[in-house]
Amino acid sequence: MSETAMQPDVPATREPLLTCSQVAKEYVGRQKQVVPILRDINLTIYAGEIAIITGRSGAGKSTLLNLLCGLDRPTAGAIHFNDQPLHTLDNETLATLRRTYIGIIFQNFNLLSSWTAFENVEAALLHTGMSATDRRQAVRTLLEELGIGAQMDNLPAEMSMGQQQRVAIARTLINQPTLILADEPTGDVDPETAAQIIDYLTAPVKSRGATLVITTHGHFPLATADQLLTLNNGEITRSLPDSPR
Amino acid sequence: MSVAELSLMIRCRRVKRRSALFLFFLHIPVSKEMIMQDLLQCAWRELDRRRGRTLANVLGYTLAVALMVILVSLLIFSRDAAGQVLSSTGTHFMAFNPLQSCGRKTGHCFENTKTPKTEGFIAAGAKTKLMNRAFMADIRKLPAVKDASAFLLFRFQDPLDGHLFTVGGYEPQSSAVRTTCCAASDIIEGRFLTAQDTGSVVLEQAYAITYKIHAGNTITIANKPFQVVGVVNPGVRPAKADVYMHFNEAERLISTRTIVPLNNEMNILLVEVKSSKLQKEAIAQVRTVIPDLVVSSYACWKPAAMVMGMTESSVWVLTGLLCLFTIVLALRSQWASLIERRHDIGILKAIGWTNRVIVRQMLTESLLQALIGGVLGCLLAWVILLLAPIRLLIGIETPFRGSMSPFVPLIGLALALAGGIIAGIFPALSAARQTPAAALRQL
Repeated sequence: MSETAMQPDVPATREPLLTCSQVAKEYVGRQKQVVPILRDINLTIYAGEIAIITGRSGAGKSTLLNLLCGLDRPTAGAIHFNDQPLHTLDNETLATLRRTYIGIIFQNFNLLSSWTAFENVEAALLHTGMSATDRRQAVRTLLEELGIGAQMDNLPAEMSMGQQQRVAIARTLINQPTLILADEPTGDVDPETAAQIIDYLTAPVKSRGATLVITTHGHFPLATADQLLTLNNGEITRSLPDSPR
Repeated sequence: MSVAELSLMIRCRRVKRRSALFLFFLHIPVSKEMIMQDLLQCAWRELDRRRGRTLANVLGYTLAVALMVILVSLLIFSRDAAGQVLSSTGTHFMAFNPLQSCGRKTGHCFENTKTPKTEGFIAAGAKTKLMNRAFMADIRKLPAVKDASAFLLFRFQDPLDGHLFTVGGYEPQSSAVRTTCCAASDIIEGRFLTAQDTGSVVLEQAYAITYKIHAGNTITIANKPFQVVGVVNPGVRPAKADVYMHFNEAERLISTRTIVPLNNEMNILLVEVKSSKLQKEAIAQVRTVIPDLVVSSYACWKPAAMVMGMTESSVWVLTGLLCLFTIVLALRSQWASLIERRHDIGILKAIGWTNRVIVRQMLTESLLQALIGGVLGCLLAWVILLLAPIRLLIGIETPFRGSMSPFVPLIGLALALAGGIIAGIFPALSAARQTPAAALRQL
């Protein structure tokens, strides 16, 4: 990516960017039964580091990511992003935070099916006050950098899984977020595409000190991680390594 | 944006949130982050993508607005046309003081004629006394009265063959005369009297036929010759005479047959009312100026006014039901659209679209559909009103003008937009209430 080429590597610092204290999440089922998903989650993710959360399917990885970006609220506990309490902020402020500082890549991409690749990426810049010309130029440049310039007018259904994944990445990176959350980013793609995706995701960490939190069930190269967390039955059971690169 | 700036923004947002719903409607020019162009662009794109639903909604608004504009235009036209018809029967009356009510200050208490057995002031077959014309100024100022006019109706006896005939003296400038006595439109032979005519009269058709008199002939009344310039057939009018002439000439002519010459007096008051519905009020108001008046009119204004009121009410009720029906349909459609798009809305929230943006986005889509449907509805109504055989449809002989009041399409458009807001706001607020995670879980 151009960010890597144009900007020097920014050394990671030990300032906490994201902290969870005794976070729990429960859902109430149809028959009013309480289903615990996460229990007593305590973690600290530092600015500029790569954190990988592993765990089996159903361990609560996606739920944890939803909590970390303010898409959902914890049943108990506190989550702080840059000292801001995500668990108490109102929806409008959370949305503004996501638009400005936090980008999320969903496991199933969550692209708008009736919008083209270009429009999906542009959606992240709409209502930000950026002029239409600048916005379109930025989207076009990024899509070309990610190698899907030729497909920018295609609908998601007209693209391969890898291309859809890159559109989802572009939509996340277009705002240059401080915190990038990726849910199983390499789960459904071939090893070559997975390697490209890893490059795309780690480039902002290297170039401008962004923080990357990834959930995976094993396809992501764990060696790239500054911090490795394992979720098992809703609890973090292992936390290695916990040191800067 | 620094962390400090973010903290400040968060605090400001908490304060603003309390009045967010109120500000939402007043704050359309939006802040820097909210660009109207973006809203319109996204709304248009979304409507374009869901063409079937969009077309159905637009068509609904189009038909509702067209029907409403047509109904209201026809109502206005029908009311005007009916008003024209009623104006010849239901918005006027004549009033007089019968001779039996002598003793009041409003007139002479004697018959004031040289030959009271045959000649005299009459109205509706009864002898009348005279009233001061000075009352006219007060009567014309009454709130329910459109115009009023003094009238002299005197029965003469022809000295040659002894036949009786009546002479009516009217004020030519008054519109009350046209609806109660005779008008230029009643002419069937010759011409009507102009304000400049002197020594001229027009005859009532029956009298002219009976005595074989035509326009251009000369007749003699009280030894004074008058040229007949026309023959009229006034139809059903309260104040009818055999011979019509200007008030001043009638005054001079009648004075030759009275013991005391007339001195700015009249024996009949002709009144035109502002609306047939106000007839009762007008009669009461006139009686406050001249008590004991006997009123002669035609009671058809009562049922006519009632029928008009019923028609008007039923059209408004129908229009209201139509608007309600359209809004319910649009609301249902918007709601279905929301259910289809819940997942998409969750995605947009996840990438940073605020609830306010989501609500405005959905409202803009709804308003765009309403606006397009409203404009198309007005155009459709205009074309239908221009081309359709409206006269045949509503059975009124008056030619339809083929145009509508500019207020009617404006009201139609305003109603469509109001419908758009109502149909859009509830689904939009519902979409805003849902958390992004919950919305994303829905497929």
